Amino acid sequence: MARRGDDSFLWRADFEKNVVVSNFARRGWTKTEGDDWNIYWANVYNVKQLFNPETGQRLRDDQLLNHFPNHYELTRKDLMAKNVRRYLKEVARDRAEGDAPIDDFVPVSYMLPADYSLFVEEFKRCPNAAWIMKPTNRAQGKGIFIIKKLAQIKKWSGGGGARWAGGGGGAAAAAAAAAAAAPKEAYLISRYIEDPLLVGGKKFDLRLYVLVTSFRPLRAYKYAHGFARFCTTKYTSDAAALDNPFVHLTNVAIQKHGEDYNAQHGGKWHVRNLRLFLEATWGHARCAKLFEEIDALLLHSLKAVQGVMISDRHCFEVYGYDVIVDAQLKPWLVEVNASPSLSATTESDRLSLLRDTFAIVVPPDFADPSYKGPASMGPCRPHGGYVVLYDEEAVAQQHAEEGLAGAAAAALRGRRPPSRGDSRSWR
Amino acid sequence: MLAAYASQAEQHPLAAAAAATSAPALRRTRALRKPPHAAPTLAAAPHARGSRTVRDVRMRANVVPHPTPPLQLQNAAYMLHSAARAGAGDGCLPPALRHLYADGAAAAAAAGPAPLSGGTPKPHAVELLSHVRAAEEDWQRSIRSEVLALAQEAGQPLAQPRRRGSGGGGGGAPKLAAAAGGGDGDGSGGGSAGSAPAAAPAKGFLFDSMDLLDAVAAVRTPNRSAFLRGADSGGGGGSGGSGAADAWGGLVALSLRTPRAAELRARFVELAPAHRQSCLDDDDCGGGSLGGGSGSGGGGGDAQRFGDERRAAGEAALAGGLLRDVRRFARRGVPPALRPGLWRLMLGLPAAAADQAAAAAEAEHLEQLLEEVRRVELVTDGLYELDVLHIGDDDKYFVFEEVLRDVVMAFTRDATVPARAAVATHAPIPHRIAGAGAPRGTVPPCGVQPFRGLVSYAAPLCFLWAERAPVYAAFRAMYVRYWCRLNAIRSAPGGLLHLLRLFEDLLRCHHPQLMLKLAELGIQQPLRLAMPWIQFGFVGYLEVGEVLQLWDRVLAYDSLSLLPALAAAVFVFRSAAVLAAPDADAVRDAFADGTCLKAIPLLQAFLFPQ
Repeated sequence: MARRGDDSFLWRADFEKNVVVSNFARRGWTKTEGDDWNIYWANVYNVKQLFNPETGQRLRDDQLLNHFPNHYELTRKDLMAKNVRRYLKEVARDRAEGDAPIDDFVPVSYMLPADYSLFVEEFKRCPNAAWIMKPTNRAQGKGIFIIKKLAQIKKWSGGGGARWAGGGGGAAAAAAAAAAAAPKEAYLISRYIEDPLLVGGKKFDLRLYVLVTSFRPLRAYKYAHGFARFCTTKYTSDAAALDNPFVHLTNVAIQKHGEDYNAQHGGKWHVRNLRLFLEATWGHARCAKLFEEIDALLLHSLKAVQGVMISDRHCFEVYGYDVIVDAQLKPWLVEVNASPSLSATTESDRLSLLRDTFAIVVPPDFADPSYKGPASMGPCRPHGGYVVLYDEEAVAQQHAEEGLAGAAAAALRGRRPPSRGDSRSWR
Repeated sequence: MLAAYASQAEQHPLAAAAAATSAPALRRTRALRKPPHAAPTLAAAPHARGSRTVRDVRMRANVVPHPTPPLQLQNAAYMLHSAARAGAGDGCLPPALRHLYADGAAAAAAAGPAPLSGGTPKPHAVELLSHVRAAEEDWQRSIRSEVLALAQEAGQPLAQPRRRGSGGGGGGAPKLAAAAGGGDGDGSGGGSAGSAPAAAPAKGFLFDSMDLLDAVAAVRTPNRSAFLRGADSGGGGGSGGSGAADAWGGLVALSLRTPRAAELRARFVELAPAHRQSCLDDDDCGGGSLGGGSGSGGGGGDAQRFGDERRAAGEAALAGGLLRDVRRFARRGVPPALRPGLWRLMLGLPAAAADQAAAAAEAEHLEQLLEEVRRVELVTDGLYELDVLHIGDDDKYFVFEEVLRDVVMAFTRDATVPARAAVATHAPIPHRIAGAGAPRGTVPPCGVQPFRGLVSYAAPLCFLWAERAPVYAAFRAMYVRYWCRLNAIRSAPGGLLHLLRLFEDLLRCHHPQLMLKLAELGIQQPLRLAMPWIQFGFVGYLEVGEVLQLWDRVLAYDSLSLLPALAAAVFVFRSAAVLAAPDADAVRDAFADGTCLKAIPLLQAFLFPQ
């Protein structure tokens, strides 16, 4: 196969978004509407169709797709919470002597209506906690509200809720009845972080981007230009303000309707500014620990779905992580978005996120016969705004080498093998 | 002659400080230039500060029986030294005074003990050059008339008890902004706002950087007639290129003696690339990687080691609490985590961590000032708020908008500012609140009229402290020590004219071709571009981390000279784009965005070219 010119590289996109289109166009690639694409920026629906055995097609080696077939294992709120919980259990079970346990990093969550009785149990254990209700299948902060009383759930679910609560029998039966009675969509109810870290008196969450080119072996990059998204209104945990979305919800889609919304920066603050502020106000050690924990959180969430994810070699994916930091400086993973808005701090950052993504997933010589999709491209190398989050092969190799070298050194000097490398990589 | 000594002091701050503590010795070394035989015994005197005793002084006085020649009474260094001695007792300077000797302040224009602040000499307080004084008075007059016109148009007295519901919030700002009228600060003899033609009414401020620059440009020196120009180039002042100044069209007309590159290198020797710097060669906030150096591993070991080393050294300096050690440490940058403590020390504020009472007093003081804001309304309040509103649009500082509003508004009511300030920013306007039996005061009490960008001085400090009180304390301390000097027309070293002239001289010497090209494109005065950077310590132009690193050095060297140096460095750095630019707009574009510029590497490359 001859090396193809740039103009014979075909792209297709389901989005008319300027960022995506202009990025493709700038590379001199050619647009296509057919199935002959080389790279396809698809929406999740079309991805599903592509991998549907009945309607789908067999992908060629030189085709790239921007989602994994079952990305929802990570990007649907309920499945992510479930996968992480299972993973943490496994890790705790298999944990070797001396390894540090992994702290929980996802707020306690239940599916409604399915897990209603479990939720009620938990609710009664901590009666003063606030809970946040999110529809599992919607984005941009739609349909989200915060509750502090069981009655509020009953009110929300109408007749159905009363029945879950009243049905003393099997939870599953009650749930089934509820689902039948009220065609409510599924909701995830999670413990609400009531004491978020505030900066300038305002609440924020972090939006961080992670690029995965392969789940087995795991190859992940994180994007350096993440940002904090700020609420426009001062934070208060007063019950009276629980209804005010401008206090509690950091989604830009919501905040931009607030009267204090500033279109120039959209309430977005570069993560480097946050780090600078935290270094001075919390000290170096605490601040470094937070960012290490955030890295660990990103990695563990990926490892949690590594087993269930179909690591199709044609696929790569850019995930938008939403992380909340609480007042004790502990990070919590709130959710992972499959189709993040790509609206990073500024227009130029946004462009460079895609540019750097393409630079990593599209090899310089795409037609090289040895190329078998992004998954074949190792080891990870930092590029542009991306730094390597985790490269399973490289870590394994490093461990092997250190093991050898360490053993040799230990034999020579009668000392313990150095542990520095170990403490810096996560397991 | 006078300026030459000034710049020597600027160049060697430690020597200057040392000399200041042994003023008589210094004076006599100079006196001894006439009888050279006595020199050997005394040459070492300035260095031997530890061993100097009263007896030594007397002894030397006997060795050199000549009284100080009258000529030297005019000498600035001498005047300042006597002032310091008068103010601070026998030769031993309190720490609060030392900064004055570091930044060339040891310099010219010593005004004698300032009456307001317990004997602190303020070299910038009184302008000695009459033509500069005249320009300064014009400038003050025009500001005053702007303020009075504002009050007239608003139909309000300058100050009045705040009515319920009025003021507060941004509501008042647009109205006042509209009423503010023109901001033509160049005012020759004080044209009122009403008569000024629409000088950018949209901006809404009384005046901004460009107005101040106009006022600087209005300084004319009668000494530089065409007849004298030829003689001047020979360099009575010894300036690197003062003779050529007219050909080059510099904006600062005064032939001020500014330090040359070699002098700057000697002064800022720690910026030599051979020295590793915090925030640059360590793992702190390096490269914007969100996880810092950890994580991907590999290659970060050395940086981390250096970072640990610097943090440990910084902690030690902080614990020691000696200004000298802290300054020496900070010359190579301060690790972000240590900034709050070390900056407070360098600013002469009590260590808050140890001193709970001091922290409480600061908080109390801020509360009192804010209470004053709630009690009394100034006609200019809306303009201060307008300034804060602008920072609300900035993607780096918007988070702190409310903190900054409190800090700036509290500052306006702080009547201790004029006494603390190295130089009075604006002439106070006396006023008595109508009706109330209050004593006469001035409007505003702080003596700083609202100008565009005042909030810039406070904004980066919000990255150091989460509470408002320490932000306020540091803001005020930095304003009275440094920033006020960038807002008053003074010719003393370390003053505005001197710093602006330093920028022009550096650029002229460093890259004459660039100056020619700029002139060709119609940008006769690069200061028009660089003025806001210099005036506001690069806030709003560079990223926050870079600004803080730059301010580390301002505090550490106790000098503002790095601001014009960095501005010149930016020009040189962008020279390729400028030389290729087809027109003036392309030049402006090349300088429009400074977010990718790195302050310290630029300074290093500029001061220590390979």
